[in-house]
Amino acid sequence: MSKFLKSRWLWPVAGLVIGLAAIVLISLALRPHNFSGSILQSPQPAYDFKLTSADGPLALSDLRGKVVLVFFGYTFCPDVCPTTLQEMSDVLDLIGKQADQVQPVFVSVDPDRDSPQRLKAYMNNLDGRIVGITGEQAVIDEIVTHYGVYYQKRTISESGNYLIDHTATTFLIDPDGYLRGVYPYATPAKGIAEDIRYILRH
Amino acid sequence: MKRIRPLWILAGLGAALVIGVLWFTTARPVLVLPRLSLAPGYGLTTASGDLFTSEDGRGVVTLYSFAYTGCGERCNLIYDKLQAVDAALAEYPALDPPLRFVTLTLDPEHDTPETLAGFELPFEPQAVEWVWLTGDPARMKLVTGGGFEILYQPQEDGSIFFDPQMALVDGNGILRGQYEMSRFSAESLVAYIDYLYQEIEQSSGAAKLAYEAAHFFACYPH
Repeated sequence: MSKFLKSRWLWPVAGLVIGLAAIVLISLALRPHNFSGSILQSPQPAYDFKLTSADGPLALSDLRGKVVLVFFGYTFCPDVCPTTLQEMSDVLDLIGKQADQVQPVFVSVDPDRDSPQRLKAYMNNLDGRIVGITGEQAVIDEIVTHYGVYYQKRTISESGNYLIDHTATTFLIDPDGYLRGVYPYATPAKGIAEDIRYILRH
Repeated sequence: MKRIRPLWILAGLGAALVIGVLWFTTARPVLVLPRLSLAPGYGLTTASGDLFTSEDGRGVVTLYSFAYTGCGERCNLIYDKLQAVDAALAEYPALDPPLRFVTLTLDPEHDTPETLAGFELPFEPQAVEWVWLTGDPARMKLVTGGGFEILYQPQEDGSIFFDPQMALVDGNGILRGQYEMSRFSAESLVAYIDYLYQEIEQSSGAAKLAYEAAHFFACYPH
């Protein structure tokens, strides 16, 4: 052993090992994060909007400093909305202590039936950390256009009951207000949580 | 033999890393189109009176253009380029995902579905589907003016002043490029479409990292 310690190869070998370890670590640190959804590098902040929650007006820009998850739906939605909202709740659970830096927002495209109070009661049943907001139909129409969301009422009974076909995409807005991620329906919560952790780290 | 110090090895490896990054950003072995923003969401009407929504564009690459049936020769700048793009794409193997031309009318009050149905297309596309869309004027303005940010203004003589542009949207509904017709040739449009399909086809596994790095370092075509 002592012979090896005195060997002229000691430092080169040790240096090579340390160097290789360093290069692996640096490469891992510089490796682009593999986002679960589609990522955007928009040069402009996400389209700002102001709607109403049960606790008063809420603008997207009020949430600067937090990662915001936005989903468009309605409380009478039979399947897609509750599933997505449950995933948002799972995302918050997976993030753990950093969950207070994340604000999920549910935008109802059905203001005729979804009052802010109804939205709050609905969210409290699912996860009170999610904020439900809505507003005038014309304002909502403008917002959904900018977020690439389509929705259309579909009457299902003679009494006028209707469902709403709508885009089921979740949007991730970073703490600076830029749209960073777009997640198709049923993107696993784990992937979204990892993306949020990455964004909070950088 | 002279001893090699570990610091030199580390410095060498660090330099190799920096040179690698510099090479990637200057030689730009991978080029990508930027992911600019979300394309607008909409539900509009085709010439046959069917509902056509932005969701119909999921999984399809869409080249949007903006025109109107009464445009006459002023729109030849658009049609000629669309025709040249179609002719170039016809030489390609079958496109996967498919590419679709979508033209949003700038004159929805005149361009009803019936008018669109009677409108003879300036050319019959060979490689792609071509859909014209119309709808409620306020809705059209929201999509075209608000969503795609196309400036247009009806004139007293009934014509419409506008800056001819095209917008390339990927299958995830993300705007990948918006091109002023006066500045971009059909060849450059085909080249941009080609970059997008290369990314779609090749961006998986380890190659995906190279494509993400290209996005990170803004390796965009000039």
